[in-house]
Amino acid sequence: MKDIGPIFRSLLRNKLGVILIALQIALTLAIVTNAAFIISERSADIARPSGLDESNTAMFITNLFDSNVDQRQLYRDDLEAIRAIPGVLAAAPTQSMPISGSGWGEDLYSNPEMQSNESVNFGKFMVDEHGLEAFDLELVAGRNFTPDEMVTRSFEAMELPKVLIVSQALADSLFPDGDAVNKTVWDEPNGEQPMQIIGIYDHMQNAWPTSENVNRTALTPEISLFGGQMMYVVRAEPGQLDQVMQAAEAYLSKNRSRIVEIVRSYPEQKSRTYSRDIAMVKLLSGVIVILTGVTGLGIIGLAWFSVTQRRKQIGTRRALGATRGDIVRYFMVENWLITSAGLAVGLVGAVGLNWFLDTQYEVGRVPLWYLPVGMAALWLLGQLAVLLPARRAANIPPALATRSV
Amino acid sequence: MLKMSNISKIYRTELVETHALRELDLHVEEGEFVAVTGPSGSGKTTFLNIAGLLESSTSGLYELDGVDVSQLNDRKRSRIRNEKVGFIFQSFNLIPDLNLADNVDVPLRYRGWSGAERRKAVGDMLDLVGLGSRQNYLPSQLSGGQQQRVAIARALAGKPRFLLADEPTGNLDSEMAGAVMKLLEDINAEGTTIVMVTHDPDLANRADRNIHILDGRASDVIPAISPNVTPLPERGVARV
Ligand SMILES: Nc1ncnc2c1ncn2[C@@H]1O[C@H](COP(=O)(O)OP(=O)(O)O)[C@@H](O)[C@H]1O
Ligand SMILES: [Mg+2]
Repeated sequence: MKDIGPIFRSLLRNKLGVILIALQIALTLAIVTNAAFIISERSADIARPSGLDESNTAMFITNLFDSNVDQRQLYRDDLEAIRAIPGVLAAAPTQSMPISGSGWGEDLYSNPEMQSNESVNFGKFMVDEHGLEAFDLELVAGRNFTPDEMVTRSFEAMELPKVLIVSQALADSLFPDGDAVNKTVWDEPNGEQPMQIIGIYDHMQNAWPTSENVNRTALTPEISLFGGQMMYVVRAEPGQLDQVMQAAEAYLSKNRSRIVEIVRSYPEQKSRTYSRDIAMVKLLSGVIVILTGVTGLGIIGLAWFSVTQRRKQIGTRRALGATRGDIVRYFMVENWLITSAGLAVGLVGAVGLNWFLDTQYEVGRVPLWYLPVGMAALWLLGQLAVLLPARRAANIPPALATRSV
Repeated sequence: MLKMSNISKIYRTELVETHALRELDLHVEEGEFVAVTGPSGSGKTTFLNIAGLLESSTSGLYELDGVDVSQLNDRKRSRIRNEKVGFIFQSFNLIPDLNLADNVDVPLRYRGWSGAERRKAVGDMLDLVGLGSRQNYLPSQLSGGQQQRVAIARALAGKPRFLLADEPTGNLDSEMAGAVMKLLEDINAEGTTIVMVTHDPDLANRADRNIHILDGRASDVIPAISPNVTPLPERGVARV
C-alpha cells in the first residue's frame, strides 16, 4: 500500500462525492447487517424440523353434516380405504397438525401434590396406533399403542385415555432425571385422571410456531366425535404424495354426507403458517439486494466520474512510468480508503440500528461476528465495483498527456 | 542514444488516415541538446511521443540507449519511461490535488524507491529548481514558470538520461521562458540528453542542433547557428 499517503491527501481535496458515497456505504452496512440478522432468525424458525416426513405428508379435513352417520364407523372405513391407496405409507386420524396454528394444549402433573402453576404444558395429538408412523416419529423408548387402548370421546361416551406417548422434550420436562417410561402422570391436579407414559418418541413440534415449548408434545390413543370435523394425516412413499392426495380426495368426496374442506400437503401448510415470516425474509432480501446494488452502482458512478475528470492526470501518470496495474491499483486503494471510512461510520450505525430495532420490536441482538462479515462483504463489493472504472482508467493512453490541453 | 530509422506513424480514424510521420530517420547522440522545430501539425509531438515511448510507431525501427524498443510490451515500455525518460509538457501537467513534493514524488513511487531515497531526491530537485521552501504548496498557488520548474524537477527526480520537452516554454512569458531554458541548459551541461520541441527560434538557436520537421515527412536537419556541432566531451567542457 505504498500509495496510501498521496491518495489519501488527494481524496481530502475532493470531499463531497467521497463523503456521500462513504455515507451510503455506512448506511448499507447498518441496514444489511440488521436485515441479514432478521432473515437468519426467521429462516432458522422456518427451518426447524417439525418431526414429520414433511415432503411426503398431507393433511385432510372433512366436515360431516349428516348427524345420522355413524362417525366412529366412518373413521374406520376412511382409514381402511386410505391405507389401501397405492403409495400410502401410513394414515392416522388426528385432531391437529404440528405448526398449523390450531391444536390442543393441556397440562400434565408429574405428581399428585403438584400445584397448577407447576404443571407442564404440552401439545396433544389424538391418534391411533398408526400415529407414530404417519407422523414419522421414532420410538426411542417404550412401546406403541395397541388397538384396545383406543378410546372414543363423544358427548355420549366420555372415555379418557389411560396411556400416552410423549416427546423426548416433554419426557425431560416431566422427569428431568430420565426414566419417564412407565411413570404415571395426571391430566388434572390432585391426582385426577392418571395416565401412564408407555413410550417416548424423538421429536415433534406442537401446533403453535411461536410457542416457547414448541417441542413438548404427546400422542394419546383417542378419537373425538365432537362436531362433524374429521382430520387425517397421511404419509406417502417418496414421490407419491400428489397421486396419493388426489386418490384420497377422490375417495373422501364420494361420500355425499360430508364436504372435503382441506386437502393440503404439509409443505403447503408450513408455508401458510410462516407466510408472514417468508414475506419478511423476501422483503429484507430484496432490501439487501437493492441496497448493495445501489451502493455498488454508486461506487461505479463516482469512480467513473473521477476517472473522466482525471483523464489528463492519469495519462500523465502513465507518461511518468505508471503501468496499467499501477493505475488499477490507485483506484482500488482509493476505493478501499473510502469504503473503510464508510464502514467505520457504518459500524456505529449497525449497532445503533440494532439497539433501536431490539428495543422497539424485540428482534434480538445481532451477534458481533455479523459486523466483520458485513464489512468484508462491503470491502469486496467496493473493490469489485471499482474494477470496471479502474480498468477504463488503465486504458487511458500515456499520449493523452501531450495531446489534450 | 536515440536512433530512429524509417519511422512512420499513421493515425487511422473511420474517415481519415493521417500520416503524422513518414519514414523519419533521426539520431540523437548522448549529451546532445537538440531543438525540434516545424510548423503546427507537422508531427513534432508525434515524434516526441514515439521517442518517449508514449506511443508506438506504425512501422520502423527505434533504438533507445542501444535497445530496440519498438516491440516491447506495455509493462516494459512503462518501465523505460519511468527509468530512462523524463517528460516535460507544454501545460506542465502537474497533478492539481497533490502538493509540490507529492508531485515530484509521483514517478519515484512507480520506481519503487524507499521513502528516504524519495524524500531526499524530492528535496534536492525542488532545491535545484528553486522551490525547496514550497514543498507543501499546491500547483495552483504557483505561477506558470514556477509550475514548469516543478514539472522539470519531477521529470529529473528519477535521474533519467534522456529528457523530452514538448514546447516547455509555450505557455510562459519570455522572462519565465528564459529562466526555464537556462535551467534546461544547466541540466544538459550535467550530461542529460535533451530533445526539445519549440516554436521560439531564439530558444532553438541556443541548442546544439536543430531538427526541422515538415509535413511529417523527411527530417530536415539543419545546423544550429551556434557553431559548435562537435562531439560530446568538447562541448561539455566548452559549456562549463
Ligand atoms: N491521436 C490522433 N489521431 C488522429 N490524428 C492525430 C492524432 N494525433 C495527432 N494527429 C495528427 O497528426 C498530425 C501531426 O500532429 P502533431 O504531431 O501533434 O503535430 P505538431 O506537434 O507538430 O503540431 C496532425 O495532422 C494531427 O492532426
Ligand atoms: Mg505539438
